[in-house]
Amino acid sequence: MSVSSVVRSRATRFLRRRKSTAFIMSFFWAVAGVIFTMSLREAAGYALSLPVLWCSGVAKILPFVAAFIGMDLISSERSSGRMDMFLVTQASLKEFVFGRFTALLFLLLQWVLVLLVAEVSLLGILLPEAFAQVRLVSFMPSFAILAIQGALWSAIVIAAGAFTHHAALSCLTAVTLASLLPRALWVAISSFFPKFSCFKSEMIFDVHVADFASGLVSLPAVIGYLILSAYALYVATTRLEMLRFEGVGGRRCRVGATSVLIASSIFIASLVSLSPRFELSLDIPVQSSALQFSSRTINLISETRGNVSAVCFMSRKDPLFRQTSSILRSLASRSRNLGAAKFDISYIDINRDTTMARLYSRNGVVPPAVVFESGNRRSVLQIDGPIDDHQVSSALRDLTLPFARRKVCWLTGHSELSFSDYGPNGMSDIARELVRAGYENVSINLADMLSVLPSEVAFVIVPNAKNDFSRTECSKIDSYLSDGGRLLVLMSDASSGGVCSLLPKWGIRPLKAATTYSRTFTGEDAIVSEFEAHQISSPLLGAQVVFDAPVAFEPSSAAAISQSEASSSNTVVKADNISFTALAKADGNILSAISERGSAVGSDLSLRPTRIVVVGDGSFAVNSQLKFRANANRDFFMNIASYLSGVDSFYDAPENACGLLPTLDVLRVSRFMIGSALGFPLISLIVMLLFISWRKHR
Amino acid sequence: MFEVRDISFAYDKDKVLNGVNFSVAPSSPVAIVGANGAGKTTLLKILAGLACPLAGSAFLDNRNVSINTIRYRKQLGYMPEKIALSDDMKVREYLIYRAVIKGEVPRRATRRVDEVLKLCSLSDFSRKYAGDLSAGLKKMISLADAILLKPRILLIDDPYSGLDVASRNLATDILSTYAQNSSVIVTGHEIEELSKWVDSFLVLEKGAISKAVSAGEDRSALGLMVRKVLEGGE
Repeated sequence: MSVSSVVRSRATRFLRRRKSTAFIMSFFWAVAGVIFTMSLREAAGYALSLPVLWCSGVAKILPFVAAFIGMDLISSERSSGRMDMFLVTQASLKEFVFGRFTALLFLLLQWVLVLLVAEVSLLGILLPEAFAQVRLVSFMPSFAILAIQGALWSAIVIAAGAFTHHAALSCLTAVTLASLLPRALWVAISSFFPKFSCFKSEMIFDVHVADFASGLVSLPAVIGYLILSAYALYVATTRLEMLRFEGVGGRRCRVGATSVLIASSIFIASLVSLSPRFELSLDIPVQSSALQFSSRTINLISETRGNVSAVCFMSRKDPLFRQTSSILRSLASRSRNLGAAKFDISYIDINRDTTMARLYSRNGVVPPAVVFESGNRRSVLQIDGPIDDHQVSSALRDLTLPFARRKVCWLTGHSELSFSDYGPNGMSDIARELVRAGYENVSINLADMLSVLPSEVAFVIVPNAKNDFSRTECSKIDSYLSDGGRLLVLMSDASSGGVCSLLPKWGIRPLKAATTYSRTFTGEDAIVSEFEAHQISSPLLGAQVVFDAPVAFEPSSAAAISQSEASSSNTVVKADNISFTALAKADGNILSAISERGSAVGSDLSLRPTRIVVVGDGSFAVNSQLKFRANANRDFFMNIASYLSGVDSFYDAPENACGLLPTLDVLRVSRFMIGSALGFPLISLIVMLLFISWRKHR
Repeated sequence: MFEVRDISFAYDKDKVLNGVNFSVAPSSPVAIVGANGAGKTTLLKILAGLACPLAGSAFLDNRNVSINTIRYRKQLGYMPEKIALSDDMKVREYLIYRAVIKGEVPRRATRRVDEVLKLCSLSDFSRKYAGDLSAGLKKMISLADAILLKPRILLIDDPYSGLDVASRNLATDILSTYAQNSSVIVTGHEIEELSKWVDSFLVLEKGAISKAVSAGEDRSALGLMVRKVLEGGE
């Protein structure tokens, strides 16, 4: 039996037999329960996975748990004189420190494991709708990152204990080193150097937690944590060794040991800061993984052949470097698995590879960007924010499709939303997506006497017009539609004069009645996950699209309806050959619909059918909606764009788009909070105290 | 033979020990006596490797103990003045833990612990928590810990303080038994008890050994002689 295992079992028993350990564990279980419940409430409507939510909350309090449980693990040994009794034996201090460290780490992991099992069980019982799409195995990466971070926090607690006699001081030091100081530094750095505040100002520890919990495992991060943990244990061992050098005679030894500690800390800091440069990531396929690609992207990848060169042209210090590198590597890995093109990823750092950087700059590539090259074709993906697979697939598509840029006309002059507005209520995000898909965004004001809707535009968008259209404007739109025009209307008010007056003529009537819906996040919105069979909505089967304060539609009664397809009640064909198709329905209300004229003519005739798509939510695709909520909204919009412009390549939502967390009933959430923050910790405390008492009197 | 050669020590500018020299042979236990603050405990801490001397060193069989400290510690038994036990452990459990830490195989450690518990009359308390015992019993446990693996060098700091008469006699019996095979250095103020089994007394004064009193053939006079020396007589 090695000394470290004896020390570990001794320390484990010491911790388990203490009543304070039971109180500390129960208290932090309660805190974790409160944090998780609040996160569940706040995350309603967002495409966040439960493991990420759970793990993020637990990770924040883990340093505190470690510090409070292990505060007297070393300091009490020093203050009581037991440390001296150990120092006079031939046993190694390394084994002593390692034994204590493993005892604390194992207890910490038990705390995490019990919490995980308890909260997942309570979730399954009390909030089954939140737990429906989650498997227990999805939490494994979360547990892994908590174990890795727990090792670092435990090592820091041990090191802090080696420097002080007092448990409270040891606890304070550990909490400061593990949580308070890094977070304060991060805030300070983010404030003074905004370029460092990468990943939405999240701290690096939090980024690791979110990445790991979603299945993106960065090996350099793991190595970094292990190096730091080992270093903290080394510091603890050296500090305890210095206890043997009491007195003036040992001053030289103490100074020497301190110098070694300072030098090694510089070395370790350099080593850890270098580690992210050797980016090696594993993609563990857990639910809501950050690197899950949509079927469209997978289809595109599978259709690519030969060699594709992907050049990441950016500084490695760029906050987005890691994320970009990860997505490219995942792309290459997925392509390899599909037996498609061979992706050759290379990196050109603008600061280091100056020759290559100059070459690319001379060719008009502005960093940061990803340059895809295949044969003589080149597609440049400009990076102005975290990239996703849609952008990558659009860039790949540009490599294969001939260059053709079609125009999308955005109507203005009636307080419409603007595609050049980058604010939360602007539509810059979806406009950029259209550009990536090969469209050109142009605005047009029909009030201008000379302006006419050109027939060659792909389609016209009326983005939430609030003011009335003049008769002339209506006439211009009507004329455009009569010539086989394509129109997308986003509307949030059925009573406005906008194009409402025009729509009934084309088979669609907006309804004024506001309705509350059974599936909702905020009470005013409607969640739609069941779509009618249509080429726009079919690829989104199972995904969730959110309509905020929606307007409903019905087939226009002005035109005579011939119920030729009465059996399929969704499609009503009208007398003048206008068909009405419901796209999305909620509680029987049609929230998005299509009107098409001329689709029934023979395919041998070169006639362009008129197509109108209405979406009963003016803010359906505004920036704030697309940023966090509902990836499916973006896909729904892009599918409409493809349908209106006659392109058959459609977007479908990635799997994690289905993972929007539902709004939870307050009463049931309260029950969950009582269970996880009160019931479970209290029962655990009683069980632990009974066990301690039983062990004591056995 | 265990020798202390020219050991000096200082916590700050003032020296606590200034060139301490003496030697201890097996079966010739030595007691270091002196006034409070004379440096007795500090000297034992230096010999136990818990403090670093300014100069000088200890030698075991003419080998400097600071060169191979692991080997030295294997042969060392130390009982500090301030008793430091693990209060949350039972007595037997604690001693087994200590024996294993000191390098004993668990099975042999159990056997040895039972022997020592019997020797120190602690068998009745073996299943009690160390924290629940009196100061005297804790002292006996600490003594049991020091003699656990029959060390060659036994450093005992103030063994009699806090012990009742029966325990003092028991401690004397145990120490005198172990002194037959080990080099024992003991400190304390209980001259009468020490003179029953110690062969020589070294008086530590102003950081150095000022006087040495050895037991002749008549051990009964040793205590008296030491007391006289300490009181300033010849």
